[in-house]
Amino acid sequence: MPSATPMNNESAKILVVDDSQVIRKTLNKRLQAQGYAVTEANSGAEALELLKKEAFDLILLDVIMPEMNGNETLQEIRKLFGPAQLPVIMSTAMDQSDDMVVSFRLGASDYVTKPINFPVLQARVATQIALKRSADRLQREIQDRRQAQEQLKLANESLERRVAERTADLQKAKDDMETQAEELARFNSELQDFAFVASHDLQEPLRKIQAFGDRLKSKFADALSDTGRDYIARMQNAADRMSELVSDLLSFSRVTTLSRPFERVDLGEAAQAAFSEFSSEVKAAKAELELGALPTIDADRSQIRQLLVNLIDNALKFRRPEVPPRIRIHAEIDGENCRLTVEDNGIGFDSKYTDRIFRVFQRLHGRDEYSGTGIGLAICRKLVERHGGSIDASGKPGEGASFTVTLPLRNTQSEPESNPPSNA
Amino acid sequence: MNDTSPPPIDTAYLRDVCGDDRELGVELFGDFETETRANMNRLRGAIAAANPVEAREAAHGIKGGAGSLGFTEISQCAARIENAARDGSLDDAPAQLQQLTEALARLGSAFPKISWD
Repeated sequence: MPSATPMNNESAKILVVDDSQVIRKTLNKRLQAQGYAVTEANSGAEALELLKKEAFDLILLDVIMPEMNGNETLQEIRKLFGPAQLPVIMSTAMDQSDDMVVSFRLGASDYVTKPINFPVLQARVATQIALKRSADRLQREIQDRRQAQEQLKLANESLERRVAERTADLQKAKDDMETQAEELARFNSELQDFAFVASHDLQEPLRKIQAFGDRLKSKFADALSDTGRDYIARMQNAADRMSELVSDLLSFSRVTTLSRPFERVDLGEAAQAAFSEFSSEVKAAKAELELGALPTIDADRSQIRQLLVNLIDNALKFRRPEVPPRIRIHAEIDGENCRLTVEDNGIGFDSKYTDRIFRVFQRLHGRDEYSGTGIGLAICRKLVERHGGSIDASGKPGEGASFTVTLPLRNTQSEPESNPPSNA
Repeated sequence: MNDTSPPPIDTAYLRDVCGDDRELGVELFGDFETETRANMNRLRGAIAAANPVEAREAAHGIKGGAGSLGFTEISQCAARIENAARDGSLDDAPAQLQQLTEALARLGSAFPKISWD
């Protein structure tokens, strides 16, 4: 007896294909009673049409039908759906076992014999539908994973692309910077070579002007009028002035072209030696030097000497009239640096000019008031910077000036930055 | 009909298909009669025309329909014609056709007497 209670078949859809209406109907009734949704097709052709429009979970297919028989229909079904996608149970008369062998070869999932034993049919249908459901779940899982993998791959690719773009940007910025740095270094080097060669070669014609000016004055002074002699004097002044400029310019360029390896330099001794170069001026001006305890540092000895000479020269030069110059040199240690200060009691300067005084050829006073080319402090700054330090100045008009040089106590930089040109 | 002939209806099988639903049983019987009438005409024509292929298909149709409703006698009768036709022999076909016709008549009188309770 058919059960009145449908099984939990979640409306699995079954297509019954048989040319006999009686058989279709009996199968339909029994399967519906089991809770299946049943569609009937009276031929293979009709079954194939339905399969194109609707999804089924199982096909119950009669083997012997006119026109297109069950095996031919099965062959067409398998072109559309694999055995895991759509199970097909063949139904056949008990004595048609040869046909069944063909059916299995063509992809049949199972078979039942007619007259149908309904419990057997129900068991086989349930088994095939359960298998299909597992296959579907597996397929969905595979698809989900494939999709997840695809998304992961896309995310990865996007990330890689962004990293590559960013890396390329950074590389380009780095390349640009390196190119600029190289250009700047080359430009700087060319400029230094140019300054050195120019100032060096300018001296030669200048010496001739001075020499012939001297001879003109000594041998032909009588032949000249007062105006002529005045011209010669002016010409010689100008030549001397130019000689001084060229010489200072040469010193300036030599800060880098004639640099030497660093060694241990006692700043106290260096200051004493520098001061002694000015013995005649010191005596004439009644100058006093107050020298504090100075440390020993890693430095280029001749350049440190030049630094101190320039600063002392500056202090003596810009003294107040009628006031004996007092120069105080002292130092203090600040961590890994030494802060060296040179103070004077001279004319001082307005602190707003601090930047200007360290620039080449910048002067705060007229040439007739104070001698010099305006290059001394520029050389000081260049020397200090070559030692990895800095220089600052402060002052008040009429109350003296104070120059503070900060230098590293230890300095590993020992190689000269460049070599002088061969004709130096 | 001799004594070894099966009964016209395997009522247990029919009840298995229809339960106690008399209306369904009657509806299926009506379908069977229509289908079988067409197959019988086809079978007669095939035997007259000595066409074993056609005879086999018609007999197969009658066999299947009868089998699916538990009409055992008819099903077996049709199967004999089908098997002989498959072997290409229609020699006994007229006699078998006669037996089939008589079996159908027996079914016609037996079916209304089935107890559906």
